[in-house]
Amino acid sequence: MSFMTAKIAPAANPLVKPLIVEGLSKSYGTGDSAIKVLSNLNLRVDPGEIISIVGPSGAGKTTLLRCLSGLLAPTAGSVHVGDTRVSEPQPEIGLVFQDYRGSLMPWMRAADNVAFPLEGKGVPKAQRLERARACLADVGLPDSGDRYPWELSGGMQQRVAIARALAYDAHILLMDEPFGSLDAQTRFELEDLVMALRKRLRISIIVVTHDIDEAVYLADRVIVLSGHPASVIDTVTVDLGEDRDQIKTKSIPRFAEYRSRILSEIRG
Amino acid sequence: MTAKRLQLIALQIGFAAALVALWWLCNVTGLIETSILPAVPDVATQFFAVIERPDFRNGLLATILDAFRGLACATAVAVPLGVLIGMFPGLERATRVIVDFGRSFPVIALLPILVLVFGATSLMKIVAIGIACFFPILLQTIYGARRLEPTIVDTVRGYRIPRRLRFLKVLLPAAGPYIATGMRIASTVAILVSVGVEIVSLAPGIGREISLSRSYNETATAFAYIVYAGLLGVALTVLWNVLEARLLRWHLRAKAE
Amino acid sequence: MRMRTSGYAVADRVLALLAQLWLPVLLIGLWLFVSRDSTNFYFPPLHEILGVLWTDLAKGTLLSAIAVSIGNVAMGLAVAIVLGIASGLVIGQFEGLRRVASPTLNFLRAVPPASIVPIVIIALGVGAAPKVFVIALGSFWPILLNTIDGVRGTSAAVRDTVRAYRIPTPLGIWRVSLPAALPQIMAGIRVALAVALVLMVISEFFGADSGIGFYISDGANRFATRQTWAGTILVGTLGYVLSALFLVVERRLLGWYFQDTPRARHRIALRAAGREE
Repeated sequence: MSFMTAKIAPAANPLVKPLIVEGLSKSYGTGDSAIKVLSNLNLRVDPGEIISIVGPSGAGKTTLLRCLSGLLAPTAGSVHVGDTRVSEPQPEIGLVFQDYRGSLMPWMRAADNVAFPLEGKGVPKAQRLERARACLADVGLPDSGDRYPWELSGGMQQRVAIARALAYDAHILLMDEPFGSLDAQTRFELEDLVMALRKRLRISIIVVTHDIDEAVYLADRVIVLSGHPASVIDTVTVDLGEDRDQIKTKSIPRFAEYRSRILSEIRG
Repeated sequence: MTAKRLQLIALQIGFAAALVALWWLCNVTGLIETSILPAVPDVATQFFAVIERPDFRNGLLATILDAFRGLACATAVAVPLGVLIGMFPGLERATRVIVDFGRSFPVIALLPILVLVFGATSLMKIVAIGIACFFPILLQTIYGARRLEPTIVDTVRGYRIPRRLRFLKVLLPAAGPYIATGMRIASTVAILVSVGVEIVSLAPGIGREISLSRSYNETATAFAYIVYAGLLGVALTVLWNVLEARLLRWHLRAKAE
Repeated sequence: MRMRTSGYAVADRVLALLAQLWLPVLLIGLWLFVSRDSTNFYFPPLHEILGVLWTDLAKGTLLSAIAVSIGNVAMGLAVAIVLGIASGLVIGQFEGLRRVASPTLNFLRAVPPASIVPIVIIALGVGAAPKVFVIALGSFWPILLNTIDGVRGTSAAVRDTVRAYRIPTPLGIWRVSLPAALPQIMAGIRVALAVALVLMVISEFFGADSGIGFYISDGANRFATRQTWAGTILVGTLGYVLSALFLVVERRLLGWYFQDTPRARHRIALRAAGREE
């Protein structure tokens, strides 16, 4: 099966399960010196949704993402993908890191990097490379398979990282400040790529970002995180339609309203 | 001390004990003959018995003192030379081949000549150790002198600070951490070369005791001395860790930023 | 972008070479000159030392000694590399194991490798095997410890990736930990090479039957100081050549690490100029 080759995008992807967070708390250390980072978070991501999580720096967004992905165990509460409890990294969840330069293996070519999770699953070589090249084409890099990461620009490297998550057949994409270290133009291109991927594949995407514009532009809903320890202080439903445009959408008055609302909430 | 820490220490001791058990197994099954791997209890006995011997104290002292003297001589020559070479790129290029040759040269190969010239004496050891320590210190010092922060260099030149003061108050302290690294490496080399030289030439020191015990077929005693040589190395490492933690606090802090 | 400059490039390189060679050549010349008429027993004339070296090389005896010595080093290092990397990868991968083993390993590596030589050689006698064993035993430690450090030093992003994508441990060790640790491993092998050379010489002093070490000590025993010096110079040259060779191998293996290879720079420059190859 490959929803990559489907000519007509299905209205919904039956394989994508909801992500349910209940009462999530995370503390580091024990006893009196314990630092509570996340406090009693509740969240639900329905299949095919794009969610942004915004908050000030150091608010624990990365900690939250690590708990969602199974890399970090919560101190209290739970994360579920469908009916399965997340206690370790799940096959349905694809992670795209902030440090793209660090997360791509410099000794592997781009195609090998993308194919690596499949290698881990035991997929034979010809098959996985074919899939890797298809995913690279999906993110706009049809000819870069033979390049090494250091030969690619930052934006291209991040695309490779996204392609890797797609090749992994991730139904839920978790992205940790994925475009923070890129220039504005590249950032806009990649934001549009993310939305195009959701439209075509109907996967769920959760983007952690400190950029409020990006959060509003991308999301169906924006989760606003703030405080020490961090909790959800607001959930903003962004009613701007599914087809968005960098220039037009950002000129709509409602866009600015969403933005100021979120900004004032973060400022507290 | 927390329970976790105690558990870790217990496991670490357990690991070492497991290796000793393996050793004992080799003894008991005769897998490795006792001329190579003496019996555990024998080595243990000798480990405590040799302390009584005057040879032990003298040997240990000889190894440490000669290593120290060799190190001191090497430092006295290598540091100024290294700073000089580091300061002048032309000089660095000219000496590169020689330094490369020296650093890859096994000093032990010089031993027969040194023994011919000096005999199996402490002086011979100090010369050998000095030569062996010279290159690591030189290399690190050159490296440190070259790596002066450009802004410091510009500041110094901008304020037209005289050469001698520049040398003493800017270059040396900036190169300090690298010189310290060189000394750390060299001190380990000093002990190793000291013991190595003693083993081959039977000059006074722990190495001689190891060699002699073996030739008298007292392999257990030799092993006991080897353990002490290892402990000496460990003690040196601990000493350096303590020193580094204190003296280089500013460098470590700067590095962390 | 650089011009296609054959003339300038060659001249540059020749000058660079001269800048590095003038002093060593000068010093050797000085040594030759000063020792020309030396009647000192311990410091014979350099040209006579070189003469002995040349003669013995031509005779073939010295060549076989060199072959023996290099053979021992190669075999000892090969064993140390395989065992050192393998155990280093495993210990480095499992943090718990590493912490438990750490004090023992730190003690074992502090034991002077030379001290094993009398034990082994006297017990096992002359021949290649004891020497290879001693060389392997001594070279093992720097490789092991550097491999462990290399694996531990793998960046957090890489480690997270391996976990997030559920890469099975054996594949992770082989395709991620090993390449990631490779720069550090190479540094360890460099140190191991130096240790191997020392142990090669010492083991040939003790197990006096063949090799360059034997050539040197034989010369000393027979008071043939020219031979002793010749052997010493030979060892030094051997060490220098082997280290230089190792550097070449290191550069090739770590091509991706030394990202700034001339070919890569060229290609990136071409692309920036709007052309693709």
